[in-house]
Amino acid sequence: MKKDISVMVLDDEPIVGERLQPILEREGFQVEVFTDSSKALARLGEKDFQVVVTDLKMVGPSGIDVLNYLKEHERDTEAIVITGYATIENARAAEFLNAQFVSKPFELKQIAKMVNKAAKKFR
Amino acid sequence: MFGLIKSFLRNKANKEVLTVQSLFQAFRELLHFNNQALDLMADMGEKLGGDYLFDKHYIETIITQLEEAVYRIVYDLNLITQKEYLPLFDIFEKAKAEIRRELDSRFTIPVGEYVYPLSEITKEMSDYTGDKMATLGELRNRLGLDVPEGFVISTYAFKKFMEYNGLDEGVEDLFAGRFPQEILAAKVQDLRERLLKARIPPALEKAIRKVPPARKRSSQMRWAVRSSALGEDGQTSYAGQYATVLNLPSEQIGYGYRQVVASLFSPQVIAYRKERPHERQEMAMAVGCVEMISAAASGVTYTIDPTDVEADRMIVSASLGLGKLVVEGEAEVDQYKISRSLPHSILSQQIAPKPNRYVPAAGEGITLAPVPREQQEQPSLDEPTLLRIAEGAMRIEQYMRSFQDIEWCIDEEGRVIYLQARPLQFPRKPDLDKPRLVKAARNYPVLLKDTGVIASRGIGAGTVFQIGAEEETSKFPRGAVLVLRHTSPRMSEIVPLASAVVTDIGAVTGHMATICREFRVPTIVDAQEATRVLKTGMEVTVDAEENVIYHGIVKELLAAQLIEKTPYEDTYEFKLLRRLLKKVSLLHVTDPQSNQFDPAHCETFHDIIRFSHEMAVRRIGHGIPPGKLAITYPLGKLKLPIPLDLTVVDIDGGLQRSNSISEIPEISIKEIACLPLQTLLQALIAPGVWQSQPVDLDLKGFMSSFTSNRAAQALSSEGLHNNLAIISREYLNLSLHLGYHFNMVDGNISDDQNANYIYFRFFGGVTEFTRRSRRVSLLAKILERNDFAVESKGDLVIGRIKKVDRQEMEKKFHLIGRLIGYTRQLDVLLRSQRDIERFTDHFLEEMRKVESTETGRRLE
Repeated sequence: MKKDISVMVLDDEPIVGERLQPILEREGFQVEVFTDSSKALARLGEKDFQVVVTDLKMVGPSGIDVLNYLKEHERDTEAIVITGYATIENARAAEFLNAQFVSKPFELKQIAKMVNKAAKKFR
Repeated sequence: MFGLIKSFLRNKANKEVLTVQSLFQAFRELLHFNNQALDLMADMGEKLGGDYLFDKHYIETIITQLEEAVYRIVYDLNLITQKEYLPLFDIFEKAKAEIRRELDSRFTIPVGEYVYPLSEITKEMSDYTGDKMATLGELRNRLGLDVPEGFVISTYAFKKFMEYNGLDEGVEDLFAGRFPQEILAAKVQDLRERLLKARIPPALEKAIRKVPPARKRSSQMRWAVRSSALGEDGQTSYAGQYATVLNLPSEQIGYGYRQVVASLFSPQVIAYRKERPHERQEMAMAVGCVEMISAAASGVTYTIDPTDVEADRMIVSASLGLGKLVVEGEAEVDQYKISRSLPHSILSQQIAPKPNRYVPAAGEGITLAPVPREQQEQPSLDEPTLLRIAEGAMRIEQYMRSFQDIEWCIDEEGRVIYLQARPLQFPRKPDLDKPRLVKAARNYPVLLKDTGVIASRGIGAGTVFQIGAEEETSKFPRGAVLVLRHTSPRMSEIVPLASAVVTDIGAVTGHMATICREFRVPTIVDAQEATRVLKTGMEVTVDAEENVIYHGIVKELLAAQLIEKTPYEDTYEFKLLRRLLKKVSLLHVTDPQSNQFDPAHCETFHDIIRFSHEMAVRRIGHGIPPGKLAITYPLGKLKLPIPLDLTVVDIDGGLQRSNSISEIPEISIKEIACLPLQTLLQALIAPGVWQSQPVDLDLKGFMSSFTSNRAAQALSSEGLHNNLAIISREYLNLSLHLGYHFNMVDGNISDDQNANYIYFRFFGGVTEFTRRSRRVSLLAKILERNDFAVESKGDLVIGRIKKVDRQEMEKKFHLIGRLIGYTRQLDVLLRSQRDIERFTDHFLEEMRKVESTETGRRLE
């Protein structure tokens, strides 16, 4: 069931969480939103998220740090990387980290699709 | 960029060395950047539709691109005109600086007026007026509800007031470091005392004196002065913390103002903000000054029972006199439970004994007064009033798209006067299981899914009401779902009444879609078969979040959307983008015939674009000797079966020529590859359109009484005017002098819907006033019924349409072609007011016939 799938949204721009939370909730996911990456990392220590949607460049730990944390702890988490810049480096970084990749501005429909795709293996 | 302009200005010789080739190069580049700038503005508009997630970086990027495009337009215009419009560079820099100021400011207090009358306020002005008063203005101006007369002293005035008294530094000091609580409290106290003694700047005092309704201010008039702080109604609500000063005479408004402003600063609020340095909204207090209503009863409505959000009931609390007893919970009050669904009914009521009520005191302020014994046990409201309160509450909730907490009073005439509306704050997160609610929608039959495009997000439900393109709009019932064949500017006036809008055909960026977003009406356009599937009288739910239309009223979905935290329209990024777009796209120079069509009247980027485009076209069309053009550009006279002397200049692939393009004395119609011109000419030369004489058989009966000798003379007086078509494969700029009339058509047809547009201008010649006005209203009518946005001023009619698909554009150019043909005779034909209707009908009837037989046909 979809309902048991938890999604973390992490972006230091509050608008990202503000907009994504209702959309993903409508898709039936449990959603937690963070703008502070240290707090998000702490939360990852407490709880298993099936999908993490994260920005790359942030004050404090970066999106890469978050993804590395997941890797180190051998989590089964699927990652989606949001960036403000659609550069080849960013796309490569995402590929290297085995994450889906999207650059702002994007259609909300698109991110809903990506999270659904990521959540598939948990159903 | 500066290097470019400097070298440009230094090059004194370029007047002489400018070749015809580089001239057209510049012209084409100008057209390119013109389209690009318009596209960028459209892109910003599209992002405001709510389908996209964008951040400030997007806003910065698109503004930078727009600046570059506009700069290039100004540069190219000066190339084309040999530096005739250098002042535009200054105007550009000024407009750019203003946009940059807005963009760079981390804060939200915008530069504006000191005061705004309520009659001018809408919700998007909340940064100027604070949330509370912005909402009150919205209730008055968009929902048409009764609110007290009044005005707002703006956030900008607040800023100036603080600066004038040197208090801004005092505020900074509060945030400058960490202090023990007592020290902070003492600092705040000191600031408040200084505030209460502060002087109102003379300019603000003057503005308050002059703001409407100034003339109404008798010595008896009393004011309620209320807080309207930035973010006051938002999640960080400090409800009740800010001051309200009631029943003040006009000369005491300044006193009330200081009281309310001082209440912005409390140790609790400062401490709260210090903990959250990322808070994106500056502290600012706008202050509402509204007429004090002498209330028979007052109360508060919660549009949902906060203890059970799934129950179908709202809660109304009321007492006699002014609202203090209800708002502050000082005494027992009457409580009513009313059904949310229609027809509203009173589910239960608890009538409290009411020994006292608040009334205005003799001097100022309010006081408790005894209620006559026989009224003490009576309900404070009668049933009809309660039902009106319920109806108003649901309208506000539906419009604001969240559960509401509404304050109102009943005036002496029994009218419901709204004082405040804001999102209902729940003591804890309401226990609504959103996924379950959303899932419940699956039990409803789906009528349409993913057939259209979302033009304005949200969920709306109601009874379908279809209106045909030519039917009256006045019979549209409030709260119905508006279903149309086309989006149409004419239908825009009923958008605020609709709970949702669905159209078969239309663009997200069109005028009507913009209006739908402005009024927050959920809208799906381009749904192909909406008019076929959604029949008048059906109950439907339009889910313009997921692009689904359900049969029936899906209450669960409607409830789910009401518990969203912040509507996207209220986010910082959205507000910033909307404010910038407004700044960029406001148009001051519209009428090229007017003597105000000059650089001095250009203020915004859109003004600069519009003006430059017009001037460039004019220069290309009139300023270059034809002989010179022929050297590098194909140019010639068009051979037509009608006596129209038309010179054609091809700037890019507008002519089909296999051989050399150096010399084209005469062009045949077959050689026109320019789609707009081809389409327009096809219509113009069709039988019966170019009506010199003989009169076409179809029209003969209709026109026989009008064809006098005088008419014939007028029609044959086509002089050798400068008729010119500048064409490319997709673009047409056509100037035609026909008889006494001047027609200008500027437009584009391509597969890129966003690049498509027509700008049609008709300027009539000498004739007496009544005929002139008939001509104008006839043209306006025909254009409007064909979905053009129409402006008319005196002798001038301007029709605009843009962003419709290629096939639809061809029809529009066809219409313009026919219209140009017909306009030649208008003055002679329009002898009475009745002729307008007859002629309009006749014209449209002819159009229909032609469309049904000729659709898709091309010139062979």
